[in-house]
Amino acid sequence: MRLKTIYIFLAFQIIANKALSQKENTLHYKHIVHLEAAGIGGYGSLNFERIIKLNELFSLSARIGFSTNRIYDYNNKFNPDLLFPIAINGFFGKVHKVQLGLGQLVAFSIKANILNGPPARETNFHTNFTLGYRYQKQDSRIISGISYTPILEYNSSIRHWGAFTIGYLF
Amino acid sequence: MKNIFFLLAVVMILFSCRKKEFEINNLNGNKITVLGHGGMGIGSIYPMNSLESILNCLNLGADGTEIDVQMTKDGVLIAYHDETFDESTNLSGKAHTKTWDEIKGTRYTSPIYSNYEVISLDDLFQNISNPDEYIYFFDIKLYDANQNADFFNKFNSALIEIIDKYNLLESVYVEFRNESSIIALQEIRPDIRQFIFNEFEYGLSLAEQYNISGITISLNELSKERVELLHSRGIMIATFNTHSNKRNIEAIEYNVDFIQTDRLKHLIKILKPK
Repeated sequence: MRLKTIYIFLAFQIIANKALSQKENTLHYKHIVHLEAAGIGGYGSLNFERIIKLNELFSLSARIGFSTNRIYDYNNKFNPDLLFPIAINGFFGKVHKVQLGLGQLVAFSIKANILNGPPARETNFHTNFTLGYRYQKQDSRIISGISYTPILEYNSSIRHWGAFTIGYLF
Repeated sequence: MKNIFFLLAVVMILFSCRKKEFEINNLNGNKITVLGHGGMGIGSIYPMNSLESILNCLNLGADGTEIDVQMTKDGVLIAYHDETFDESTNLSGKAHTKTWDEIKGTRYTSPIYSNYEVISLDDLFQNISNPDEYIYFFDIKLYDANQNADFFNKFNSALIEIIDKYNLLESVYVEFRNESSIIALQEIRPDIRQFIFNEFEYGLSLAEQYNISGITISLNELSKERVELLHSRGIMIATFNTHSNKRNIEAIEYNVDFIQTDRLKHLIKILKPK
């Protein structure tokens, strides 16, 4: 148990030292457009993120995206599910960033109304969390990342989920 | 030279677009009934046997659908495929150990962020306009329910109630897996048509012994000889496991009577062109 604690402490020290010792300055842009495979949007989403730089190492971001599960409803009419992932993220690091996030997905999805049949749109909320890693090469506008994104579906049951992200800074 | 290549390309495109025509020879009026597999089948965005999946299947123009049927502890028939709810919903346990009140509102876990629910057969048929215009294969899944005489009485009463309530006598084929189930229903309602869903040899012997309408058999177990043998003895064939366009065509070429497909749009396109 003691040995495990020491290992965790050492690992944390190495990661923290590496992040703090990043001497190169990465360019700071205020916005990102990114595509996320899986992640808090479900099976994939297109997102916009506004970045607020707090200091050399810390930044925050607000994110909103769009996703869908299907375009046509079961009557074969154009009637897509509309899924909007919203989140606030915190980043620590310069080139290699540790990401922590919290958000909600607002789902306006179509299902059959059991009482009278026709498609009905219903609104549901799903809480999501993000623990991830982002990489932004010095002087580059491209970011990429990988994250663990557990989702509290219907705010009642947990789904273990993950994401790959690639984005463009501007 | 260039023109010849162009001409050849045009001819090739025209030939590739030509629709294949099938000459069907079976016991179903020389036509194949197009059925969805639990609605839109495996691989659809809709969970199998959900209301959305079945309505989508019928709205696309299928002749009907296969539906997996199980009974709850309090005698309600539900449309559900798996042995336990843990496999594909947010509930745990088995259907026959829970009451309908405990199951009602159970959500399928896939696709993510959807809210498709497990439904009862009563809810399902209430939502199909003119339900007697379609064909349904009830794949009866008893799993390890206590299959004594009381159980069969209860199950058959629930089944008959649904069939009579929605006037489905001419629309339904009930698929059982074993002899005792077949006998139990035949004794009280010989007019309800049955299929046996089991291995070929066993299915054939039961179909002949109890004068059953047909056999449901996986495409993997079919051959031309088997189809001809069954047809020569007046036994119809329903097949499943057609999860690709190629396998749909393979099933058609066997001249089966019913196909429960996972590639519904393709089968409708080739068998029921507008």
